[in-house]
Amino acid sequence: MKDLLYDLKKQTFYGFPEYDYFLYMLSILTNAHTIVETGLGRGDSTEIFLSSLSNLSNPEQRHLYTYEIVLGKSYGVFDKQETVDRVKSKNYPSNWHLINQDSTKATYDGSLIDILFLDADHDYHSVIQELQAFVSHLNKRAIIMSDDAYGSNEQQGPDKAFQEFFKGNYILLKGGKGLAIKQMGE
Amino acid sequence: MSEFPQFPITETFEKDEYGSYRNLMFMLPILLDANVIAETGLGHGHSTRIFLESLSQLSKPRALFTFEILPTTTDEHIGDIPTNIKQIAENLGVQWNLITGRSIETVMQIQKIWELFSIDFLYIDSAHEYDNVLAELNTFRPFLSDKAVIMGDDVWLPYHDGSNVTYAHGKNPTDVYYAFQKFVEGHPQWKSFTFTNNDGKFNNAGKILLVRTK
Repeated sequence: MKDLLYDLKKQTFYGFPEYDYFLYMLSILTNAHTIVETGLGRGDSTEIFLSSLSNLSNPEQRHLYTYEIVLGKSYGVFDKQETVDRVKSKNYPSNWHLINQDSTKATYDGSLIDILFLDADHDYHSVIQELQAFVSHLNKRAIIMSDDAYGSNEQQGPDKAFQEFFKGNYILLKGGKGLAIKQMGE
Repeated sequence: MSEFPQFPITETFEKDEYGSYRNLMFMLPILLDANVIAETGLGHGHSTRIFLESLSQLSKPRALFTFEILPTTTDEHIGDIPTNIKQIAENLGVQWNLITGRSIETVMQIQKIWELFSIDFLYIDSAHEYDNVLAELNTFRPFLSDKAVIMGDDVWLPYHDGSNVTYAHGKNPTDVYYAFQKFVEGHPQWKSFTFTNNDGKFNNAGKILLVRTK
């Protein structure tokens, strides 16, 4: 795995896995206070969001919620507990809440969500269930994204789910793995 | 559903290493609800097309100003670039203004426009020499809106060997990078974020973004 290294002083990223730049700046530009992501994976987006929140004012008042069943391995390779330990060891000044819960059945009780990043199971039904679980907790200008939304058949679940849930009113970024993105209030 | 990009340009442009930059350049004006974008340097028209597609997503009429020193440029794939871009802008219903001449002079010549329409997104990508980049930043700054964001291209060259790139400054960081840092020194309300791909896998030149964080 390629760790994302960053220099907080210069704000210079050296690793640059796909989309990290985009996710990082999205958090900065929207002045996000509360982010929810589903799926821990290798912890890449988790660290991106935590580091971006940490570079906004009063990071101790900003929160990232990560929904993941912490058991076994992500992608059959990455030990989830090791990922959790690695992220925690970074001691980001923003708050990280690891919610050991199935995101399709999420019971969320945090502040209104500014960014919702769906990156757990990418099949159509899971994405629909996640959207249903979180939609009532979104800020009025919240941004909702689903990863892996363009390309192979397996990657069309999020696109189909967004198509149905938002009645076609969203954007599909086709670069890389694809990202379905919707800003509420449009 | 809107798809991006609508207009594939070249095979190179479609490669993944540019994906995140393109996506951010496309989404930034949308997130900013930008009325006016200004960019310096037309080049092959890649960023111009991205911004036009982006502005076309927004509801009311928006405008893109492209400052280019050369009166005309061509590309082997698309021919005369201004003609091609103009057609795309018309198809998208976005007002595109090509301002030819030295950007730091022409932007002043049309400053009456900026009294009515301040710039929400400034993209710096013309001549990459230190003095020119810094002059562009300082010249355009008074015309930026309160929510404006600035982006610069080619701040980092992974493969630079010091022999064939005129705007390199020392090692990997280019003159563009140092000009942006100098600008931030004089304007500390701006915070810079530099992103590169420095793993040697892609010759990706990196972008810098200036944001006034809250």
